[in-house]
Amino acid sequence: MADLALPDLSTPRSQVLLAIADDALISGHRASHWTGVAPSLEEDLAFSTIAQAGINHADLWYQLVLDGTVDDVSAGVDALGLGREPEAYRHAIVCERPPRDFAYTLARHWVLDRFEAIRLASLAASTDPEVAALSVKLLHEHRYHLEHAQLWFDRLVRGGDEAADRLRDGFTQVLPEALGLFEPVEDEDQAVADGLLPVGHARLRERWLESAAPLLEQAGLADLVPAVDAAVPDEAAFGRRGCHTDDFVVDVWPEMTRLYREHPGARW
Amino acid sequence: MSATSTSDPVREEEFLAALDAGHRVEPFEWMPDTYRTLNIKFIEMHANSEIMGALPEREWIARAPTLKRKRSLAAKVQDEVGHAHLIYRVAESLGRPRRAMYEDLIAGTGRFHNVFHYPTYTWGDVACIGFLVDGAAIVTQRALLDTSYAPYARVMKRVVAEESLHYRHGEDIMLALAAGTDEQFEMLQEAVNRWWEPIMHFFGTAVPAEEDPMIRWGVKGRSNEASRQEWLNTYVPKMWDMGIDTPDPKLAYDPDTGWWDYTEPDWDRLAQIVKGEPTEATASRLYWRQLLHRHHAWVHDIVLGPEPATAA
Repeated sequence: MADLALPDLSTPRSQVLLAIADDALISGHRASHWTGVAPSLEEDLAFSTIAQAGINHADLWYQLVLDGTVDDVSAGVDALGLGREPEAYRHAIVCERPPRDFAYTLARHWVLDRFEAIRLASLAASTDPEVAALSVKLLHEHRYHLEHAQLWFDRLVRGGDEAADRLRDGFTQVLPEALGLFEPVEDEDQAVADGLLPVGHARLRERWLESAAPLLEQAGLADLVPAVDAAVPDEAAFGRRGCHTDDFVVDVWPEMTRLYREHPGARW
Repeated sequence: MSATSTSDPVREEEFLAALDAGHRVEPFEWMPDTYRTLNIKFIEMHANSEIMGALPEREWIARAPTLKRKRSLAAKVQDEVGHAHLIYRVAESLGRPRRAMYEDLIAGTGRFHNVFHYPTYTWGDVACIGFLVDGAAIVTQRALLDTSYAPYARVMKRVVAEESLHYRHGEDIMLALAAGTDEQFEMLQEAVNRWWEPIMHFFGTAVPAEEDPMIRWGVKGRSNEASRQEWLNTYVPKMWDMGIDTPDPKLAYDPDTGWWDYTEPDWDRLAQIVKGEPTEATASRLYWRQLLHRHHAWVHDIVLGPEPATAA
């Protein structure tokens, strides 16, 4: 896609929007793992929907990154979604982890959806009218994801020892790594000062903890609630700056982008 | 013989006469054993095929070449799983529990259509499955809108409506490849060559309608050969329009008979595929399916209760 003149991706605006879009794309990609192989037909349908929402939301955010700079919007979206090198992706590392046990998937789903809903709610006040409008629109869809995530949370908590233990294991893995969601993108202060991102990622962490901690405590998982000042573990840090693990660089990225990269400029 | 006997020859004759007169059977009505058994066999295989049909295409959601294709393929495969969900419920209304069907399928003892035993190699396979294989499925499924078991006919209305969207999805992928680069066209042609025989097999042998018990008992409304001819008549001209070579040199439309002549596919190979040892693709898909299934027994217990119900 050499003739596609993409906008400057290093601006604070681009970095913020890429973080949101990449979180959606990579977690959507991972959710699609369950299509055809989920533990029940109902959950097969649910995770396929979650995957489509992630891919679709990423598409919409990439369109805002493009900001009218390319004539062929689909080609521009694919250049962003499938045409970047691994170190140019800005999603948090927790999004790239494999689905693992279904309880891990459900714990991550619960964490990510609560985070995304809080981020979208704050973005509804963005000074960028397109960002604000899209956030309001996507927030409506997130309501269903939140309900689904909470339904399974409750089911597992009350589903007997094995289910509760597995949920605990899932949260034990996901909660420390989830702190990587709240790392700032490059020059985030500027995006906050401009009002594009009304609430920075660090402050979103407080809001997320406020909403998640009571539910985790009620479920007997108080010991897993991250401390207010807990550091992001090294292995899950700096995703927002383009550091990624083999789960992305060796597993997701090559498979997801190979066909696109092998046929530059082709129409599909 | 009790009043509720399911093998009363007189009632069986009456039942068949009612079917011939267009009666549609509801689950709470009396029905002969043969009718119930044939329907369960057919409907279970249909539902299994929707599940197994999801697996070859599923492999390409992760690899789709654009975000639009990634999303639409995920939606399309989701529809297939949704069809399985609906169709298993129809089989359940005849007394066969979903969990038992599902576990038989995963254990490798459930039957499903031949076309879902094959591996996929390129995006060309996605085009062929979406357009040609699904096209064949649409032909046979449309014929089920008149099936005599009423819950099945009702579910098929919705399935067929969704399948017509899949037809557009498949056609769109196929047209893009046919109009694409030389490499893309070659990818498509090679895939058509691979899928030709499986699709010819898909409709089954040309067993005469009067000798097909599925037709006598009102499960199917049309012969295998009639379905195969409809597919050839619809899809071959489309492929030719796209510049694709159909791999059978004998293939030609006979204006005198109104039918297509073709090379008889190797029926022993079909029997081998559906009844013999699983193909490598099926063995590997089932292996992963079994592994994931065993690993998630705890989820099944939460959703369905701890033990599979006993088959009726």
